Amino acid sequence: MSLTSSLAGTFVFLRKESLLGDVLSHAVFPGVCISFLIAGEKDNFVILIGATITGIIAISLIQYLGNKPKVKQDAALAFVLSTFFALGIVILAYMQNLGISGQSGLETFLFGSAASILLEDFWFFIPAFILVLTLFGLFYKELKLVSFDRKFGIISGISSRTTDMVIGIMALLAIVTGIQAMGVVLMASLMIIPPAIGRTMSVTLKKMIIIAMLTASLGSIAGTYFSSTMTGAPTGPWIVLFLGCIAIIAFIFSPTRGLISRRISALRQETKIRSEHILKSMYKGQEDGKMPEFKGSKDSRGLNSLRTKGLVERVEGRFRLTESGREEGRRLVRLHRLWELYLTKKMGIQADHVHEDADSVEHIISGDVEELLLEVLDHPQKDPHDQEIPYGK
Amino acid sequence: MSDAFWIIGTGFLVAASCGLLGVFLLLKKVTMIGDAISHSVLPGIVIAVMLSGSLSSIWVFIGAGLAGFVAVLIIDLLKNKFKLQNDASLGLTFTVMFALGVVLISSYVGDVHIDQECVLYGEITFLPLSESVVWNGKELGPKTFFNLLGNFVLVGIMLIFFFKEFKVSSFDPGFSALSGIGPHRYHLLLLGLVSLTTVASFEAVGSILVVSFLVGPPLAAYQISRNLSQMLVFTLGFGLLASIFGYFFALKLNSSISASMALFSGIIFALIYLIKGLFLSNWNPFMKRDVVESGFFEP
Repeated sequence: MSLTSSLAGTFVFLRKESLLGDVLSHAVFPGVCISFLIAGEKDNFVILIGATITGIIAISLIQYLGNKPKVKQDAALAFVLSTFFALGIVILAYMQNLGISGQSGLETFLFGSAASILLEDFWFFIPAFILVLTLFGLFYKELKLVSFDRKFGIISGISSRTTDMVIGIMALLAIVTGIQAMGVVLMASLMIIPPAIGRTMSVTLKKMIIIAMLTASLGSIAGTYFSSTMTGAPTGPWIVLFLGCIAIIAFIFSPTRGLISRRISALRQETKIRSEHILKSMYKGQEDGKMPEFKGSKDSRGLNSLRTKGLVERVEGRFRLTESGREEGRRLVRLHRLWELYLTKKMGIQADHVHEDADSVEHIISGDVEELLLEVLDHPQKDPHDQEIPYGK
Repeated sequence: MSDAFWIIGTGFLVAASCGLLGVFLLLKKVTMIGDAISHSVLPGIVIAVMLSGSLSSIWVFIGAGLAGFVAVLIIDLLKNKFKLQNDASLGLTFTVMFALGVVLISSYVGDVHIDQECVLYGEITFLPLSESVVWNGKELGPKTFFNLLGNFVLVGIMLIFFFKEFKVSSFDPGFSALSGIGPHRYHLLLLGLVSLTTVASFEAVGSILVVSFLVGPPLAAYQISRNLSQMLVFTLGFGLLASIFGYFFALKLNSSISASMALFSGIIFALIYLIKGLFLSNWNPFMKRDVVESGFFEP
């Protein structure tokens, strides 16, 4: 179940339509209710049909209404969700008051109860998963393309209606598989949270899917186990809580996009810029004889980084540029002045406005861009402030 | 006062408060936020009930308010610090919070009659039997009714007082910002009122059905209104109709009253939409009267 949902959910997530999963999972509820009404008991086959029919009606309604100018997408989603769900509750209450025997089984569909899943249910779960997997395999390229860049997909000749339908079917299968354990109300989270975790933890689609499926399984197993040890505890919410915890951990500790790694790389970047500025000011100090002063922890971090790189050395308690440090400083000053010249000459910007911009850009100008600049500016000698552009040997 | 009066009245107050606010949510195209808010406040409500022992105390409002606030914080955190996309941040936050609420309910064993079904569709049926407001020794009516009445009055006052501001910031946020009416401020106010209304309606219709009242009547009104004031009036009207029809339908079918009222909110929209489409397809609310009267243009 979790595998199916996370797989289908990944694409829904990528298309930024996660709320659609929420709406759909609420919307299949009346279908489940009606099938209970007809069958009088929990009959997987009838439930499947009922849920699918309602699901298809819901999807079509959302598509239809979502395009109407007087309704638009968000209202269409909210309308379908609430009205369908209300219908389901009306039927449920009706059955409850009539004392129809099957209705307690129906209630488990609201918040999920793993305990109510029987072995024979797997006859449905497994084929459903295989079907989703098949669709996934068949349409992988198209789904990937359309999810990331819809317009390009349309231009490339991939019918967006077909892919929409495929994703819709996958989502529907996932939902129908999952509602018994998760419940209608919380089903959507199984399709939202694992993909979100996967997204945070990886950059490639394949890895994202794998991580999503792993976390979904982990969360479901943990949640199911936990809730079964407590009497009367519904499975759905516990699974969601576990998934939520995993999500928090992932968001903080994730290697590339997590909070901690972001902080670290931001710090690293800051040190780099700071040390390059230090180099520049030391070089300029050599030019005009005014030695710069450094204070504060950020500066000392920059200086230390420069020392480790061998660009600066400590002599008699003061700092001095090494040979390579001087070259690097010269390069930075050159880039700075070249960029300033470029801005004034080619972009028509006033000379007193260019300094700050150059201060930022000088750190990212690479060798080939430098070549281009020299060409475009015709190997100039002076910058807009009439300072010499140092070339060195 | 008969039971029917109290029940329909309470239903109407829910529909009216939600509807009025829902109009602006609809115009701003953020109706689903109403769904998110109504889910997110649940843990706050449950914790407040656990601590205060009553479903209608002031603590419930405070607890839910805090929960709503926490939810907004988390969503913001996810979007800005963790760079998670908008719809996923929303979905993640409110489902997890709702799950938390449900778990708390299931582990809570207490005096107050609060259970999972109550969360879903409230207990408006039991309204006449519930705690009453006593004034001067006379029983005035169910407490929930008066909570909702107060809420409705608050919403009404806010809308009347800030009508211009809400109108401008909903229709044209850019212009409103330029005119000194900060759209963000009023957006937050709107969402705050929605949270409040959700909480007030909790005992009557539960957490999930509120959405029907937030979207159904306003959507129906939108189809046939020429301006904002008309839309608001029609919303009130449709809310009333949904409450009345829902009540009698539920009695006939012996089903949940609150769910029926919610269902009818949606049905009314469907009817209006169909009628407009099938019979009045050439009519629109913005048509000039003299064009119609001249007979040249037949609706």
